[in-house]
Amino acid sequence: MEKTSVLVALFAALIAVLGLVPAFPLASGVPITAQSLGVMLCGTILGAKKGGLAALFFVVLTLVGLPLLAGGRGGIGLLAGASAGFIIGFPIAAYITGWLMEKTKSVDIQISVSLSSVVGGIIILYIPGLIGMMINAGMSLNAALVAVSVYLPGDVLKVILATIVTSAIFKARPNSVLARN
Amino acid sequence: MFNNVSSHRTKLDEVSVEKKIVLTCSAAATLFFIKNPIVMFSIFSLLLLIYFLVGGLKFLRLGLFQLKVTIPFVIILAFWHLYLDHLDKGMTLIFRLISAFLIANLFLLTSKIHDIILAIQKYSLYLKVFGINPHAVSITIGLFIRSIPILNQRAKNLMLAQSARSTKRSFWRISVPLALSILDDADHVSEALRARGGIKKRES
Repeated sequence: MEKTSVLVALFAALIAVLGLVPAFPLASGVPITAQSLGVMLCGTILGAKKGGLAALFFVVLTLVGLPLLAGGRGGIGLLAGASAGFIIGFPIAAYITGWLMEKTKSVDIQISVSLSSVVGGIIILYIPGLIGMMINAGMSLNAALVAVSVYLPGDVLKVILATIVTSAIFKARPNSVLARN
Repeated sequence: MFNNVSSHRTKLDEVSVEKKIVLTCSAAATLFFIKNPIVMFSIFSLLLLIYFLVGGLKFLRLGLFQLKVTIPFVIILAFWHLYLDHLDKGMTLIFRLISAFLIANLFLLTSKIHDIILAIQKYSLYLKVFGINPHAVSITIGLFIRSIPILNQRAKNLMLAQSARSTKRSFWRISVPLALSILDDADHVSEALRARGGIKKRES
């Protein structure tokens, strides 16, 4: 119980801290940030339930008003912005990433982490993200897809980083990667 | 970091946080049903008037200053819709974005983070219905807010240590030690919590 709350709080704080790494606002109104790396790490290290909770915790407190998103944004007004879908997608992405990690326990850790963060942190995260851009920025699906493709290289880098971090932790302390316990 | 709260008190500060949350959310939700740019612009002007009535010219200026984060979004939306030749739609979207920010900031500028968190804790009692322990929620909120500056400082220290050993500053090299230190912290803090009585199983 105590361990769960502390892990949820600390990983939610990790997502927040990654938002302080300078972000690059891009043409579509959704900036490139390291925050989705935090979301992937929540899933790959904590597993589905705790990782999803950590991301959900971060999102709820951001929407309530803490200025924690990249660029010091926060508040319910975010739901009107172009990144609304991505923000709502964070907990879902973390949950799916963790769920896939738990399903691929027998596979090599690097393959398992990269697979789950590609599916959870990119594919699953982009679905609500695209819907949000279509509704809030009035883009067509094709335009939104083009706009989103700019983020792909960055996200692939984040997947690589998530793989390095998770497998390094797994090597040093296998028990700490809760998704594989 | 949490410098959003305005330093001078306004009339809205006295209204309870719960009422303001309900008002903010319903106002922001209504914005989505408005499709007409002229109506949207009048809402925007009305909001500016509300800012002025609530806290005078100084408050209005503060509110407008907070809008600076929306500038890149506004420029992009404007160019995008100019390019597509949907000027009406673009204007609606831009004023909707600005108005939503104005509404949200009005709430944030007139409520202290402390009060907002107290309100969350108060209503988290109802989470019991879903089997969530409200005491755990309160502790997690406190820990979360406290650990942001700690983790930020640690990331900076790791960066310093890294740049003392290399000519390049790279974020990815500190990510593994940062993640490991977080897991260490989780062990220490959860043991410390348990040693001090732990999280209550049931709210008494």
